[in-house]
Amino acid sequence: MKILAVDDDRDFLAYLAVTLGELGYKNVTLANSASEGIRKIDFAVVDFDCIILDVQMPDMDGIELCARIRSMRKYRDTPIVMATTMADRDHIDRAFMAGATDYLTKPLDKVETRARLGVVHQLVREQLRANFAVANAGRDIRSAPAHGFMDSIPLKKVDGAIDMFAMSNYLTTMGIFRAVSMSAVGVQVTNAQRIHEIEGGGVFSEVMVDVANCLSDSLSGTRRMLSYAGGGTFVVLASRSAIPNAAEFGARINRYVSEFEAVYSDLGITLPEVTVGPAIHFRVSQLRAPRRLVEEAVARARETTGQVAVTA
Amino acid sequence: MTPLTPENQAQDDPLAPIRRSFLGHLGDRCLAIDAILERDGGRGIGREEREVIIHHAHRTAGLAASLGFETLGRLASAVESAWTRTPPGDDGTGPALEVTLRFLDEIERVLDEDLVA
Repeated sequence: MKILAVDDDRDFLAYLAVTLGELGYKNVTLANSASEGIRKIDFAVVDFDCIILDVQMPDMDGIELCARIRSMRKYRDTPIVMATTMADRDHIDRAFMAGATDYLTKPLDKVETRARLGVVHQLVREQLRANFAVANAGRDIRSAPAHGFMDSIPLKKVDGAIDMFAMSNYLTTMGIFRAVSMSAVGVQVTNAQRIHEIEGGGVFSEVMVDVANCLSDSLSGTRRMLSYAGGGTFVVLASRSAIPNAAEFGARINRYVSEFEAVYSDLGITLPEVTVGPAIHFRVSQLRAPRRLVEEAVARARETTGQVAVTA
Repeated sequence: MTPLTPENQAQDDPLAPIRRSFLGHLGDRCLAIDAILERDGGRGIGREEREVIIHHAHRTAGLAASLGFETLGRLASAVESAWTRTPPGDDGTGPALEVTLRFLDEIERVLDEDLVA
């Protein structure tokens, strides 16, 4: 795995290089500032597989740098790990919203670093395999749906959207104490399978992006994150007080969805119908794995399909 | 066979040069913070001086524990938090100043210990 590490503290960079080497990551490029990091990215003959960023740096901080790297097409999906002493919620939230995949707090714990980078490495390998499969699939790939029904769909331009892997890492980073104040809600497009079958994967992904925008708009003004879990299921993460009850929330989302009715009708596309699962609050059984909050919200939303249908 | 002495153990330790560089910077940080506190007994610490203290504490907090200086790392974090919470314009004689003095003591202890070793 080819890693770029950016930190304005040369001692820390040297330490990171040694630690990564001990963990088996020998291909590490170091940059002492955000601008040097960008230069190394621009001039890299082979793209980096993973980027590690400090947050507090002069001129351009790590969160701004993260957003800048994310906006580069070839680094749209590259894991970006923040490594910082800034453990407050504001920095964590801003980092994930800027596109961070994971967040490590300094001083680095070697066991935790090994585990978290191990997962990132696995993600990189899966991405490489997927890219290889697409590049070598020949003509058939073009006639197949752009996205399978259960595939993830990038929601890069949706306000508050992050991918599922990053959302799980976000909860882990927040820690138990802060995670207790949050709730997860699953939102299910009840006719998702039908839309996928009739319209195909390309249109389906566009419809899901529209639903994601409706979801985001329906909670505008509150601090929230949302993610797409595949199969027409979304997860929203917000503070307990920000999430309305399921019926009200469902009706609100569907009101936004109904604004697409005329356009969808003109295009002959089926309008999505949305149901909302119960809000899942943090429990003692989730102490060791806060991500279970998200998994449970997804499962409960899928259970409700056809049971609590709130249509536009 | 090379005998296992502290000297050649240090040679085999990839963190040894980093620790050396860190301790070198630590001495500079100690002097810089000390100079700020010396002025006016720490009562007239302005926004810029406050940022300098936070910056030095931040740098120390990020690496100290990883190099084996756990107490120093904890104190550095405490200094960073204390000054971040202290509103600009505060005279700085409160808890922030107290924890900063303990931080400086710990830096001196670590540097002394290094000299003796």
